[in-house]
Amino acid sequence: MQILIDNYSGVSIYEQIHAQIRDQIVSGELQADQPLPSIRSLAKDLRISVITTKRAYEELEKEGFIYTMAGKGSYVSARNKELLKENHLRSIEEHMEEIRKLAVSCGLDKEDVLEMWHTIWEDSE
Amino acid sequence: MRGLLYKHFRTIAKEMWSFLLLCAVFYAVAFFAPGMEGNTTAIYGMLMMSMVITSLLRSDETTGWRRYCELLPISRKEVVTSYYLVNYGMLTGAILLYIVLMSLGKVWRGSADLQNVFSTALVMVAVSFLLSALSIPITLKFGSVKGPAIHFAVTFMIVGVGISLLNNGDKMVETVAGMPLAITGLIMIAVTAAAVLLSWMISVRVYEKKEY
Amino acid sequence: MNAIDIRNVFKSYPEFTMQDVTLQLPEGMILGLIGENGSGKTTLIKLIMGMCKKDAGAIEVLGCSDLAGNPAMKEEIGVVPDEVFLPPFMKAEEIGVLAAKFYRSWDAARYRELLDMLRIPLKTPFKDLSKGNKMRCGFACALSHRPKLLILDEATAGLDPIVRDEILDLLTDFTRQEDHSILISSHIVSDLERVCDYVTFLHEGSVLLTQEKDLLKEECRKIVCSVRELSAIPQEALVGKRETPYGAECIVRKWGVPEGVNASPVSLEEIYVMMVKGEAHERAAI
Repeated sequence: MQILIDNYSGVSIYEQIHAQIRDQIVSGELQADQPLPSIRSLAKDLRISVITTKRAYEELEKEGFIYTMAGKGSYVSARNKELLKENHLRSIEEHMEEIRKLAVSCGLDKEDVLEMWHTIWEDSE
Repeated sequence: MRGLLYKHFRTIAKEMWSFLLLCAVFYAVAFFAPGMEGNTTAIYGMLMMSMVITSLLRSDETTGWRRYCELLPISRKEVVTSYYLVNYGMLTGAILLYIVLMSLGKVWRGSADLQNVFSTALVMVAVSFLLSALSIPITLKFGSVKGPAIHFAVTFMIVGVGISLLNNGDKMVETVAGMPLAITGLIMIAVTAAAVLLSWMISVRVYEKKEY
Repeated sequence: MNAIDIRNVFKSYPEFTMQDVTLQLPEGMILGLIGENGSGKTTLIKLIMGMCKKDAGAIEVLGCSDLAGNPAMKEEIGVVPDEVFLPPFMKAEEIGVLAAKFYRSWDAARYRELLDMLRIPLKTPFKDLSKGNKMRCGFACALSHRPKLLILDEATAGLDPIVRDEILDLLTDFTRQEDHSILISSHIVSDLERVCDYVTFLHEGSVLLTQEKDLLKEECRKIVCSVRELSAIPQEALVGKRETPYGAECIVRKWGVPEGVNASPVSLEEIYVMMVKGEAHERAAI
């Protein structure tokens, strides 16, 4: 598991951890039922407050990405990964529909949009 | 308590060894000097020994050791008691050494009269035990800055009272002189023990009230 | 349970008074006590350890309300004071021998390990050690009797950045266990910034603020604005301000930032300085 904290971004540290773990779960980098480091050892290794890591884990658990077994620790949930992926897919479809409508309304056709799309992907790489 | 005693003995060995050496020297001189001179010299040796505790108390204050003790799992009463154990342990040891040494000396010179030795030992007990019974609470209460002055003043007053008692209490002295050594000895030891106990109680009280 | 529970404590000295100090260190957490020199940090630690008596209020340490009367509890408390007063003629290894006679759970191997790790000269008498080395030795002692609570008073002042880093490592390592807590007082805020769970600001004997560090940092924003915009900020949102003839520099709670003004994250040190030197001195309850 990889976590990179940016101290100077405006995003709170707990949110960074939460987002990074969530993304790794969704992308499959973190496998189902894989154990996560304990709140304390994560705080120790990242040299941050234990309250921060606790909040991140609590948020992840509330959203169903991880589950905790008393005395044993936290693990990656299996089911919700698929659910979230489905959510994202649906979201992407909705956004694409939006894009299509916007394109049509200002006279762009499929090729124009695809060109814009390619440029955006290349720029972000 | 173990730790305190260990630290005290190491400090004495390191910083107050000169007092011990002087006492040994005085004892050596007393061993070879006959009669009254020898006794007086030996008593000077004991005086050296009774100065060790004051020196230790002051050193511990200056080095901050007693302050550090506040962080250790020991009570203030233990800290105070450790000084008494060390002091009276050492004084007792020195007096016993004196008795053994001088007795051996007398025997070696062919005399079996040890009365002198024991009466001197009694004086040593009284003087050294009582002196330190006074100096320990004073040093604990007033510290190493004001302590010596107050100590001096109190000792001065007591010596003054003692001398006037001796001068005016002829009858008392006669009675005491008339009693057998053993009885006088026991009375002196009892009074000294009571004084030491009282001193310890006062010291504990004084130190427990201290604010760092 | 709270490792340290201080409620409404008062203590008067001729030139200085601690007033109505209340703070808690929950078990398993690290509390950073931030305050300038003379703010009362050392006095507070003395009160906690029973080195002086409070005039009013209650102090409980690891559940014990009278530490002076229960010195055995100090087996569980490791303290590194601002000045370490170990016997001046003793060398580091001899100090280990001495300490073993005081603590039931003295771990000699751990002590040796720490001496190595902190690079403390083994053969130098304590009085000849540099201030930094004396501090490191104090650290090694404090950590080697398996305490549950660590109290550090300005323990990192005067140490070079490398050693400070190593010590922060040791501290975070210490809190791996859930019942291990740390109270660390410092005026070097950067050390505490990342690692603390809670912060308490102390100023002239009073608590300005005591709060979860993350919440505090999330709530506060630094802005630069005009005088007009300044007047639009509600009083409760203003943590502190510094006015110049050309505008104002303020620290404001997130919800009170005026529309369109650029707000940037702020460090604990900036919050503290602004609270003390800026013009809003009221107790902050965020």
